[in-house]
Amino acid sequence: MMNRKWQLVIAGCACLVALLFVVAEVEARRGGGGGGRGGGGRGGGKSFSRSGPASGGSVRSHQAPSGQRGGNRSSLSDNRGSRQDNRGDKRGDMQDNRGDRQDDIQDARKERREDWQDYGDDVRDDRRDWYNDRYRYRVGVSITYSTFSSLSCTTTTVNVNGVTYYRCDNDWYSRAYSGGNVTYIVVKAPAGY
Amino acid sequence: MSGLSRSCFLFLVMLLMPIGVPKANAVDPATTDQKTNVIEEEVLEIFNRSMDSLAKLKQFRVTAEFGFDVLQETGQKIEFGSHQDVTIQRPNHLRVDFVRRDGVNGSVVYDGKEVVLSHPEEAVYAKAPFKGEIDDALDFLAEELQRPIPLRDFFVSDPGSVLTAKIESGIYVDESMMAGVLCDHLAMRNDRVDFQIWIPQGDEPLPRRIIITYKNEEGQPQFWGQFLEWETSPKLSDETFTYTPSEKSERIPFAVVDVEMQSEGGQQ
Repeated sequence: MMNRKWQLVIAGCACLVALLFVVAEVEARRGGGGGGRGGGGRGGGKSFSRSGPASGGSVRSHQAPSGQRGGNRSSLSDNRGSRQDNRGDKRGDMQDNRGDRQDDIQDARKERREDWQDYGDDVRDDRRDWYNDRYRYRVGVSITYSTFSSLSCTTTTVNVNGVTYYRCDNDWYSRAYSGGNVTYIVVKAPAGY
Repeated sequence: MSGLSRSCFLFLVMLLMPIGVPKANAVDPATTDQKTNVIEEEVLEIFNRSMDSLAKLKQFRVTAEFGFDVLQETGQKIEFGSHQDVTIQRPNHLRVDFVRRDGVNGSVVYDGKEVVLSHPEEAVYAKAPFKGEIDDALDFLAEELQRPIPLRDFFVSDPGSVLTAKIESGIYVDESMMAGVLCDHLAMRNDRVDFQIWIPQGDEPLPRRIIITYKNEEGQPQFWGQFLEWETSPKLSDETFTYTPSEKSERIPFAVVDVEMQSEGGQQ
């Protein structure tokens, strides 16, 4: 009689375990399906974050998380001359002892970061020079094409001295590369507007 | 009755066995590796032979497909990716042509004097003056222009030292067929990433595949890259590394996003 009780308990346990397997299997399949749908059409891409720590495709950690990029760029704004010197030193070290290359890079970067903290005023002066720099443009924010095209205004386009400007109510936008993508940035009104 | 009891017992044992065994296997080797930092000699030999053969190439073109996870705010990981052709002429010429899965295409060209990014669909390009070797240009792209070239560890002058820097563990997994080619499958770890690499056996040991796991990052996202074709004697000319804008193309700047300006309201 005791045997029958135990049989019932064991059979119950076995059914529960079997059920858990089935549920796990279904969940796993659902996960796969969801991933497939996520890569869908262009319209759905707006809300997705498209870059992160794994998008750099390197064992080195050069790329900062997107939220800290602004800070990183600031730290890179110190004297470009000394940066080139650092690179020269790095190359020498590489030839001497290639295994230490990674350490050198990290040390150089650490030093640059400390320089940035110590000589914040100088760096701020350097930044002012960026306004006159032909290839870089300092901005507070850049927006994607999707965001730009969803702005609630009718944009008008003008070309001044070979640069295309987009007017949206009282704001003026122009295009610039940010993170390897063409983005839209807020700029001053072009001359004559 | 006793027959039914025996079969129930056997059924339970069969169900529990697959749960117990993999658990033990999954934990033990990882713990052992972390403790002993095993770097198998055979692994370094295979790996260095491959990286040395790559470093010796004065010029090459490689076609690759890659994908990477991006952790979303919802906690879901979504994969994005691209097709990429990279042409290298050492010491200071580089060209990357890419087509992303979302259809965006473009190129990155470095001729030893300037780095040019172009985007034909929008007829725009941006260029920055830069002098240095390919290693420096790859750093410049990643750090200053925020446009890292995926798989760049393989394009530097000494890929072996970059990939094995601070390595803590290196194990030989198995022989593995990759696109019809018999490869050695190696697994390595450093303090930031775990990576696996597949290297063909034979005379041309140029890598076929890599998977990088960013184990310290939230969600432990992965990057995978599949090298589809290596051309070790490509036909190159000056034009390969020259960007000539079309008449309609417009030069645009690189936007440098500044935290202080963000707090000031985003405008100059």
